[in-house]
Amino acid sequence: MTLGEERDALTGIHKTNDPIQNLKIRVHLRHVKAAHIPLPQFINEDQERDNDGTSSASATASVTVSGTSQARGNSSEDEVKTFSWQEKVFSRFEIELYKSLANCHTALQEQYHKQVITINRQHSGQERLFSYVHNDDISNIEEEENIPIIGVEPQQNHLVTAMRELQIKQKYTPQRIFRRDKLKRRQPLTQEGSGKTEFHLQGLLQATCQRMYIMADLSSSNDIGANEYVLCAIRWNAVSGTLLVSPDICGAPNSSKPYRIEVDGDARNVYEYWLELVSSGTSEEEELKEAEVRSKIYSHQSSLRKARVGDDFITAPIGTLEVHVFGQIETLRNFDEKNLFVHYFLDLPKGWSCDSPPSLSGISASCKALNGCVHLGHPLVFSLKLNLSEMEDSCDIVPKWPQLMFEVLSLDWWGRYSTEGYGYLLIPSTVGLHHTTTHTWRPIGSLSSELRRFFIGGNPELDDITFVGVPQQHEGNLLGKYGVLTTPSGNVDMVLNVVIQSPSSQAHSAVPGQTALLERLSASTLVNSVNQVLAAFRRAHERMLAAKEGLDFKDESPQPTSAASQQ
Amino acid sequence: MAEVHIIGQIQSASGFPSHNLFCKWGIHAGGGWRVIEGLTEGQTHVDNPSWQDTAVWSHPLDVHFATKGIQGWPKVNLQVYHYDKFGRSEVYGYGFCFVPTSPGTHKVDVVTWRPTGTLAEQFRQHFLGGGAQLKTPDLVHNSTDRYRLQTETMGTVHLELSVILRNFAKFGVET
Repeated sequence: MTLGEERDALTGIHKTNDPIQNLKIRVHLRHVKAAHIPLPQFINEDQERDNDGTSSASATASVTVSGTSQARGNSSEDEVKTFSWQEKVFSRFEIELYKSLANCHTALQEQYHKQVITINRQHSGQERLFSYVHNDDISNIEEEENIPIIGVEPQQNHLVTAMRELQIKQKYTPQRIFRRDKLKRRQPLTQEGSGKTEFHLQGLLQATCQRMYIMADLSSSNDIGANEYVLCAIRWNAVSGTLLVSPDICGAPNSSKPYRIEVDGDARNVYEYWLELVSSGTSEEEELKEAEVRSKIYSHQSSLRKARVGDDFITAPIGTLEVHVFGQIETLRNFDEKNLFVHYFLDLPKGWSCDSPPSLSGISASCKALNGCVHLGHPLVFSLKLNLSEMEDSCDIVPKWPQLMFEVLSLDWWGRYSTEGYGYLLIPSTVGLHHTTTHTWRPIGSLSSELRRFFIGGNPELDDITFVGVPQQHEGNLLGKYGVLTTPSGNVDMVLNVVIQSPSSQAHSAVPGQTALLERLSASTLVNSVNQVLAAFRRAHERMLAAKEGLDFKDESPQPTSAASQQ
Repeated sequence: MAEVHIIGQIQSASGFPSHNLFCKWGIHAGGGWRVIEGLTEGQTHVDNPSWQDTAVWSHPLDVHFATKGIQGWPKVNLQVYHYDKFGRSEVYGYGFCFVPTSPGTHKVDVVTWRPTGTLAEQFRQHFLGGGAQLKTPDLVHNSTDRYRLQTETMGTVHLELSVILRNFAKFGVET
């Protein structure tokens, strides 16, 4: 993409916390005169690394490069100047302009006049480098910058004019640092009036920067001020600490490629320039101190945050597994009737307990359907405990998990209730978010009872609702529900979040992720049994000590019984 | 203590009978939860979709909680309102959802409903607007006493929530 000698002009975006006054940029300006127009030579990448200015035999183009500074190697004709931030250096044109007081209209220009008069003009000669600072009136440069494309008429649409007005407004209103606590503004953001909506500035991010332009006056000596070129545009945004240098710093003349300017498009009259960053660095002491202060601030902030967060946490007691379910009964779909509600309860098997039994059952609000869909949004919050020591006694390897049984009922205009469906859902044993859909059914009787249901109302109901899942009275291996005639009904959608908490000693698993339930249970029971053995040993030890006390009285020589028990 | 970060947005709403909707939202958690940073309540702008059915809000949510226990897991409460051309706002739906307990990005659809009155009130509501509102919005996420309500189905609000959990595994909590 780039020619061999030229450098792409990219904007460098730098973030710094240093005060901007420390910024110093040194510019080297070199004039390159050529007898004929140099053609671009495409050098292979290997040769570029040689850093050799002369062309080599394997170059693709066979034109000798004579117009580059590297070929000429002239460093004595360089103009070098160091600019610090907002340092005003006058150009030849400006010196002539401000010499006479008649040209000065504003206070700033009068100040320049005073400065110009006091400047010593002995070393004037060919001073081409100068600068424009923030307060100068450089609207012609700004306008050029606003047009991103060369050679095409810029299109004026509404957004461009509005942004330009905004920028002018921002330039002349006092800057306010954007603060989060001022986020809640009292006034509306837009104002209607005169057909156009104007935007308030308060809520918008302040994007004004301080600018500085390093310029070069590349015109011939007869014609001062005709050709002024921007060498470097520097923008500094104090709020975010961003420094935009365009084009970017490239480095010292001997070690990097320069930027090129062709004066008036004439390829024979070419200037090259380098931008070098020469801000005085901080001494090592200062850097150490700065790093120390920064780490102190950071540790202070983190300790503050930690104090706010706190250290304690409610852990599950030893020997229990806590299961928390957060969810809701979301929707009911495809039921026959329109006005539905759900009556549910949670059936806890042996070993399970709950702190607040009233939360285990409930009736939802009744809701009218829209497009066959009923949005219930009924919250389900269960905090259940599984007592693991009880689990050891039963012969089940995997504990029975609670089941949520529910009945969908309809309430009609007359105030009649009828059953629309039964269903049950096993609480998921894996943690995480679960979307479940349960299909429901309802029992039907004979044809006459169906007709009766349609006209008058009234339907067969289940005597024992646990029949829906595994019935409570069920024993044995075979579950038979033969003989009950049912018909399918609609669907119940639920979303459940399951969180399982075990005693923290087993929390650290080698593989981060979900430990299998069996592993947790076995680990818990193992710990339980170990604890039990330890407790039994402790009791035996105490009894032994108590017995020994009685013996110490009488006999002082070591007894065989006590010696044996001391092992 | 364990920490929960909730970062997401209230994306859009669909299925409501009219346009010009805005949403009042709040993230509430139980007593043992503390807000470290972030706004827990707010209101979106009014959106009037011109060519599609969904009202798009894209309202950001960013809350940082610290907690002592699992109980009282945070939930997002939503109230969707309709802003009509006379400047009145009427309730178009109540809904809530629990913040997902597993870390990661989740798309959550919150179903909404609104309370209805008698036939006469519904008739009036059809012509004049307005309608029944809940006295205490607590009823949306509490399951006690909900059977007293007669409600009707309204639309759905779509949320996208990303959940980051910290220190839960240390205390034996698996999420």
